[in-house]
Amino acid sequence: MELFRRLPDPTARDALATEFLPLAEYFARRFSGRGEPVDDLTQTASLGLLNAIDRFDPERGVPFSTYAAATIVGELKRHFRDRGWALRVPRNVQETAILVNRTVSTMWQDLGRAPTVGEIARAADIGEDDVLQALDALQAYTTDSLDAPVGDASTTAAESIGSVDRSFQVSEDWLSLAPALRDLPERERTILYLRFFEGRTQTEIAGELGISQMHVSRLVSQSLEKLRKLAEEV
Amino acid sequence: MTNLPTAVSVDVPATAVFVQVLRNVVAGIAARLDLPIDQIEDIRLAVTEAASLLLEEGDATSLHMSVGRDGDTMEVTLTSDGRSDPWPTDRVTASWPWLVMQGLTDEVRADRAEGAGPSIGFTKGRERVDR
Repeated sequence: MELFRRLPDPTARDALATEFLPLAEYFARRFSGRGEPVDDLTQTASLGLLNAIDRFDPERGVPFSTYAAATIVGELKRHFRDRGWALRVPRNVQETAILVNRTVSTMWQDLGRAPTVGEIARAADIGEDDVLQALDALQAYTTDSLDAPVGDASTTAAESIGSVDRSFQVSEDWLSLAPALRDLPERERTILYLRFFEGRTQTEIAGELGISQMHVSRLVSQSLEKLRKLAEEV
Repeated sequence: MTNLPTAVSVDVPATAVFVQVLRNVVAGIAARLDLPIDQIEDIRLAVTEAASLLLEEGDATSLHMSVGRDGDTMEVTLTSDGRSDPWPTDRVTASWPWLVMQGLTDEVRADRAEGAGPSIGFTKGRERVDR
């Protein structure tokens, strides 16, 4: 902070630039691999850093590193924009999965059917492979919280599924097909029963249970997976 | 829809770990054929169930999967190098995985070509949705 008080002393400016150069280099690397030479990116990022030093106002209470990061990223984005690149900010798998999940929910409602991978990719502005990877991760690893509120109502998914259970009699014939069904939680057993024994569509089940089609699709996948694991243990 | 001029096929070792590879391959192809994601998931699950039935036979060392397309319909066939004969048995067609495949796809069949191992195939057409 002392250095900032000495601005516009050129030696203070140089000292700050040297100290924060690694930050500029870090962002230059993060934006590399998009067809621009790393040297150019480092230069652009350094320019962003110098701008940040000149414009930083210590009175505002924002740490310099935060301010510098934002300015450097802004400069790099402008660099790509000036060259006509459609810049995609790097995202990790988890962020992508969250984005895809949100996009699918919205699109499924808007379209009245499940979107295609291409449609999701265009809407979320990410690659088709990223969408596939995210969908895989979502099906395999997330268990939708059954305590999450359904739609705008205050009932939870667990409650709405329970209301169907009252009129639901599991046939012994059906259980004999896959004994491990007995070990599944009742709501998952109900969904599998409706889907495969009564031959209901996902849409019908979603309507009946008051949950989204995406949720039904995911619960079907997860319960089949669980069933297979249970069967292996027998 | 992306053009799929000839069937895509892949051979993997007959183990549960490689069933995941088959699932990913079929999902990747279905995505390129512009199928909606719920139908992609149905196909992926059906492949898993078909593979589990073939693996249950126990004597298979490799699994072959071929994926083709006829108009708007996707055709997937899994064949093992096992020796099960006769095929399919009643136990197979009365099983849970078979029921699940019937629920997920349009048509399921099991047969055994001359000189080949037991196979399970299914078709899945793009479901039309009125908008």
